[in-house]
Amino acid sequence: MPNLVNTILVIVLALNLFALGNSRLMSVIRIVSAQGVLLGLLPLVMHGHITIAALLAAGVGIILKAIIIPSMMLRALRDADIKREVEPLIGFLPSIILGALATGFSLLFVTLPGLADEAAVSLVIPTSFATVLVGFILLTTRYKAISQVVGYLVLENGIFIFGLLLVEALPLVVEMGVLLDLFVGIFVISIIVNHINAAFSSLDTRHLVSLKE
Amino acid sequence: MLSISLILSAIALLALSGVPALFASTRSSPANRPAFGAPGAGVQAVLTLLALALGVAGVILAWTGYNPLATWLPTSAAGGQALLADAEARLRLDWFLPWGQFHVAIDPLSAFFLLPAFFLPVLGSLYAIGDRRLAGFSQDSRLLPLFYGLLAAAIALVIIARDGALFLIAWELMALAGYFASLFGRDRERGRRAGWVYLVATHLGTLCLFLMFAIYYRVSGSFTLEAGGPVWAPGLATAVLLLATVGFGCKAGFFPLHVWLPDFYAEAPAHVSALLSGIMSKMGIYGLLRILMLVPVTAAWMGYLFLIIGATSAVWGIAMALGQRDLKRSLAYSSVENLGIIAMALGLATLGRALGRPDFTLIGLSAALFHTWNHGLFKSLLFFAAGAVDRSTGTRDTDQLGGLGKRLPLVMALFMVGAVAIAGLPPFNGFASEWLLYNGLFRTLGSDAAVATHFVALAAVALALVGAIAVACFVKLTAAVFLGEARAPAIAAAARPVRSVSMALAMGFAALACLALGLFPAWLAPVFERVGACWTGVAVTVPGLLRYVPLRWLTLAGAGFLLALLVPVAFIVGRKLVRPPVVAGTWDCGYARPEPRMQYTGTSFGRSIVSLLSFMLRPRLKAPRLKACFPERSSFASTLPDLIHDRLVLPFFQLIGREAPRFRVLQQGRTHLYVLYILIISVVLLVMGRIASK
Repeated sequence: MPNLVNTILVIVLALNLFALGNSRLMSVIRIVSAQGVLLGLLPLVMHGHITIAALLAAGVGIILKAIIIPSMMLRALRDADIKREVEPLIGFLPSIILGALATGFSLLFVTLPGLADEAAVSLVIPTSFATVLVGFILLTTRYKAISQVVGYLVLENGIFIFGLLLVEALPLVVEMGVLLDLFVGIFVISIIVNHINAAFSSLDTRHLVSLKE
Repeated sequence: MLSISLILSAIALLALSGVPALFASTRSSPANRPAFGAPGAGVQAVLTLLALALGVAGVILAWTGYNPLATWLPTSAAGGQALLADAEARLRLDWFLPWGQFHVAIDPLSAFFLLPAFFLPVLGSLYAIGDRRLAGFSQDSRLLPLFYGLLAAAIALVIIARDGALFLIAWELMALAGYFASLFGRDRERGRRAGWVYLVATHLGTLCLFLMFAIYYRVSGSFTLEAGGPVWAPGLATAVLLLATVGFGCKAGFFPLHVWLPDFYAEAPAHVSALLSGIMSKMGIYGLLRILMLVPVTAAWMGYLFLIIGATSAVWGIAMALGQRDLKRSLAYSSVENLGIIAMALGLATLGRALGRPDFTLIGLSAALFHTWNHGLFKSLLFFAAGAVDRSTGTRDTDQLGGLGKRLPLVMALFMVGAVAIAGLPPFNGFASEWLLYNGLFRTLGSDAAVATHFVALAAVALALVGAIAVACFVKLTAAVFLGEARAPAIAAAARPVRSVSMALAMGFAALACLALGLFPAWLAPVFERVGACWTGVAVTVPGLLRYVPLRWLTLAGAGFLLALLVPVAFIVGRKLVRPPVVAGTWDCGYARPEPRMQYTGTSFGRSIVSLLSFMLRPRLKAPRLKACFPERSSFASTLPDLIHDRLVLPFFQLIGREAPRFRVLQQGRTHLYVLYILIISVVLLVMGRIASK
């Protein structure tokens, strides 16, 4: 089902750009959770047959990325009482353009020599790299701690897409381990967000400079 | 198999010997001190003694190849068969690391170095019982035995490691344990500073070793340190040997790499200094010998290089030792000298291998090995005595000490034994090994081999010069510390008597060993021949060491000397019995109102030689200039800074300290920026990969 896979990947790419261009933190979180749902579906459609292991991985992935993590972040958002990223380093429109450039760069430059050049695979690697780059852009240009978490999530989504190529070889345990890592990471960051808020009475990570040696 | 098990259990015992001290009570007041000295020190002495027994048994079994299991076990039993099949002193186990394996073995070279590695910790921990009691108790003194034991164990592990990865692990363990053990000296602040310099130096040396083992792995395909490897291309062999010279030379303290050594040895507790100088620095020599054994030397220049390094280190070390005020610093510099002598002997051995002259090799190697043992013994003895002086008076400044011979007669006698031995005078062991080296050097000069005469002649002259300055240096130390009267009256008043059986035992054993090795060096000849056969890889076909060097004569000469000494001693004792000596002031010198401050100090004694060598030592003088007829109150100061340390190493690190902060621009403390760095690098790598794949 290469067509279905490619469709999903294109939607993922589009969601990346949406995430870059949106100032309301709540919508950004929703966009990323939607991306998580799509990515959770990918392993099911990718190989054309459904195994129990794939089903389990998809189920846990979707529950974690679409429900648990977003709700944790929304909660942190509510506690910190902020709604939007007010002053990013780069404006929203330039971020979108940068993201588009990154996507184009990946589509043009990134291939992995030595892989069987299936049609299904053709978009996977560029999408993966484009998503990683978008995650980096989010990380570097946004100041609010919550936006940084979103950036890490997008980054992880990119790595997840790359991992799809190996999904046949990857045992279920490893995949579950990765998800657990992600969950714990986000969990810790949510706690840290609260602490940053308490210590600096703001979620602006620029205040962390004062921790510098 | 049995021998290696014995050695390994001895090492484990050494490593654990400091653990009981952790549980010792530190609350003991002076009134209810435990009978066995400081917390845990006694336990450590017993455990190291046990380790010595096990270790010596293991070494003897490995040396003779005798396997008692063969006679004890019924040979029909399956287990007995398995043990019999594995009679070799070797153990190979796979381990969890991706490189190398746990591979230990004992060959004659290892066995030779293992003996002092097991013996010196016993002396040191014996000494520590008394030393710690004098030092008083403190919370952290419980940690010292732990690190002392770990240091001893790591040294022994370095000696038996036959795998590059294991060797480096043991090497690093040794360096770190040495660092921590050295921190418990009297002056904590200075000790920390000296330890810091040592840490930097030792890691720079270890870096060279990493590189060396990388090349070694590249060529031989494994980390196994066994002879019979592949054929070495001359270029790579040269690289490996040079890296080994720098890396191991840093530990041994060869001339320009010695900068960490004087302060480090001086600030460490005395028994730690003894172990550091006595055996840890010898690991540099051991490593060089091991690498020279594995990588064949075909070029003679390697031998000349060692001769030059050795001659420079020896002359520099002893000249600096003469100019020091600090007693232990002086001893530390004299370590540089003695390691230089060993390097000269090593150069002779290497030269012999390159020229195909087994007689040079045998004599050189014997001298190097013999001096390794000897230096370990008399330097330990001297450090113990210096430590006793330090504990008694609270200072090591030879220009303030004096007249301690009356307070500490036993320490003085033992220090003098060590001083005579280290100065290379008969009938002690220092003479025997240096004489061996003289014989070897002169043999090359007289032979028809294609030797670059000037290098060897230079080494011989350097050795003679070093011997002379060493005598001056140790006369100075003995006289300044023990004779005359205390130059600072406060110190004379504060000097406490040192009455410790354990300290006396430690020093006494070392002194006895010095005398025994000096009187009966011929007994060691077969040992040297066996190690030589192991080192060169061929059985010694030459007639043997005793045919070249009449070592047996030393026994006769030494015994004759001691007998001749009996006559004046008997005369003096007899006169004392007949007519009790008149007690008078020690120092008078014809002055009407003499003061202790008017005595010659150690510095003024050494001054004549130091100023002769001022072209290379550059002593700093702050002399008053007389202007008026009636000079005013003024002061004079003379210091002998280490040129390499002050003019070369310090400016270099200051330069780094000045310039390196420029890179702090990169560290802004903003997470965004750090993520951006990652982004930039990944994009650059992607593009580069793309370009490279096309």
